Amino acid sequence: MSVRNQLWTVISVIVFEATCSQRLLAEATFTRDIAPLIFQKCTSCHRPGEAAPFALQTYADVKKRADLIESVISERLMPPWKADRGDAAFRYERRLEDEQVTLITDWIKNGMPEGNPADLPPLPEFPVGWSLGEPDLIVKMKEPFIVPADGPDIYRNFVIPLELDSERWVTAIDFRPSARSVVHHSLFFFEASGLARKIDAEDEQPGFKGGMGAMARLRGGPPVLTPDGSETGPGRQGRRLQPGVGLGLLGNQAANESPKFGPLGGWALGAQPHPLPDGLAFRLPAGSDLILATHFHPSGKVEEEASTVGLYFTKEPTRRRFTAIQLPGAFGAFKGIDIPAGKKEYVIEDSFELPVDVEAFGVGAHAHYLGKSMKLTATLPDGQTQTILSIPDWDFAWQEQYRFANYLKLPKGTRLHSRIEYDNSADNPRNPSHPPARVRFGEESTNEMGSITLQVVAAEESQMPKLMEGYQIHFRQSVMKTPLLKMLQDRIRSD
Amino acid sequence: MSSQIHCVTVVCLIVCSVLAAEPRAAATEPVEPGRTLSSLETTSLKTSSSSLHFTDLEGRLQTPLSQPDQKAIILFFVLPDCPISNAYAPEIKRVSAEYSQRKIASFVVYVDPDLTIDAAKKHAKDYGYECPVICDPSLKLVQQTGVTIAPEVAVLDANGKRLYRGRIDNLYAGLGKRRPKATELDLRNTLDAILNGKPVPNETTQSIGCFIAKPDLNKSAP
Repeated sequence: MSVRNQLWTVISVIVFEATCSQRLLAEATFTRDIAPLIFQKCTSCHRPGEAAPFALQTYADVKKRADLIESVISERLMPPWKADRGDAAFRYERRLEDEQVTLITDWIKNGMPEGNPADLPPLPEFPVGWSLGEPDLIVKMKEPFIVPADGPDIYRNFVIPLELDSERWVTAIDFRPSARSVVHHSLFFFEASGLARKIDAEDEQPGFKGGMGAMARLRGGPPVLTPDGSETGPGRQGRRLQPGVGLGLLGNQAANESPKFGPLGGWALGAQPHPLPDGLAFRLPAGSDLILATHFHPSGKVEEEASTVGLYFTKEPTRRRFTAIQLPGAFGAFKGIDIPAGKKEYVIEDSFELPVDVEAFGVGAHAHYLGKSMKLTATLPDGQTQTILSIPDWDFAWQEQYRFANYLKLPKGTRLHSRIEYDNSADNPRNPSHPPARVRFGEESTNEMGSITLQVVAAEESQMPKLMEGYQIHFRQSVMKTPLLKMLQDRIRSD
Repeated sequence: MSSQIHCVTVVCLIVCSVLAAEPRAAATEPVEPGRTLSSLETTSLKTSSSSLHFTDLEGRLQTPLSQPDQKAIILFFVLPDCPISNAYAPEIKRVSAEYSQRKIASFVVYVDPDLTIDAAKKHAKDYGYECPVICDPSLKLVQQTGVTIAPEVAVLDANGKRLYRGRIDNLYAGLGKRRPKATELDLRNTLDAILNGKPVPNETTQSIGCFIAKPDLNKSAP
């Protein structure tokens, strides 16, 4: 063999090896690399009979939607998960990692090679029927609500009698809309005084007009009291300015009266039902009606919605009492929210120092259409700051209740700080007013509210009253700081 | 896999030829047969567009690019499983009804190559389209008008010359970003300008919605 031939062989082998390894790195295939991601992150909703508009179950399905998939995963619209990666890991996270987004978009740019059929994993077995097993109680809306073909979003509250003769403890609720293309989310509440039924009877249609304004009616007044727990209304409570007791609190231990109205969690598109962690459960008083506060998106054709709901009870009362630290309290009612028309960055903030060691298990945020970003941080006693929740592009449509993977331990002396930013300029496409108008606090979707709510237990059960008391003092102080007189004068002038 | 081997072969051939200093046949990139076909199809379409005809869902023959007795033509490109496209159904119906009285013809065009006629009929009935509805599985009208999104509209003169391509209005500011109400009524403004003998305000706008799948080149190859 000549030197020239030997050289040729060596070089061609080197080139071959280099080309191959580079190719292998670049050339992800559907069956080996992409299908597992799609099956895990998309297919639970993107399959026949589920809410998503088309199936993503096969190579052909994905190839056909490649351009759309590339857009929505790059813009982080899908999978629907608005929270950034914070310092505490979330359970049930639907988010794609940055590398996973790159893997999929590179595969699309590379011509979407299908790969070896033998590499294809089986489709996951998705639950048929009730995913948590047969519920302890199944109820259904008596008559369907007609959703028109178009027009603005609709908020409607439906009242379903539960006919319970004794108190129950709710660990999970599974919500099944009948018209999946129009139901966007539903928040669950109980109401035990019969007031909801009365309001429901005011008009012919099923349910009554929704939005937080309706919640205020059920509460008997504006939301002056509340960590996210039971919203004991001032109308019924003699207008004491103090936050109500957490819903998970054993009523007779934590408060003099058991609340007649309170939340039971919620469902949003894309979410699967999950029981509360660690034996926690919401108290559901005897004689309660279930209220579904449902948000509809008209779909282009008339639809009829008659939701079915499955409730799961625990045999025992909640294992630990829990409450919610809402910052600012009362959804920002005492923050003097007054956003000038066209104002691009308007911020409200609230800080609270934990009086005892707590363990957080969930977090959620609330604002209306002007909400732009949300952030809750915790500065630990050692000075280190952690991000608990950060939603950089708030979207009213996705009111996720985030659960932590494990209890997030926050020692006594930790300072919680919430920051909510609004955009009342014409650049905010969700701005309900065109041109933009001055916006103040209120419960209608053309008003604004804002808070971030951390669901917690006291690390030591005995410290629960101290936690509640500390939060009440903080809440009263923020009310004292409110320019109440000015707010009142503004109201009178504008009315 | 074949392209990988092919690529390696090409590299080896080049190395080989350099080393051997022997001229060999240049490795030419194979031309995909489908691509040639589609470009030919486009060319031929452009020369005979006015004769392009379709049978609508009612079984009537339609020439959506040629309506000599009308002042203009609107083609509404829709995809039945795109929520944004579906959300526009009521506005599509309103526009086609209002402007048909002013001698502007409307066609709803389904642009999903995999859509069966029965599924198209069911969808058209569910959403209540009243103007002629046609299926364009080989995406001839898509190529002809240059639309890429559903929903998107093309407004043509009576002879099929394109006057406008783009969104119906600005109800969506982005995927997942729906305004409470549209504030720029691009299609209606275009139609009013045409009826008033004025130039259209914008010849093209960016539509928001689902991408129209590109024709599957392998499938259409002989």
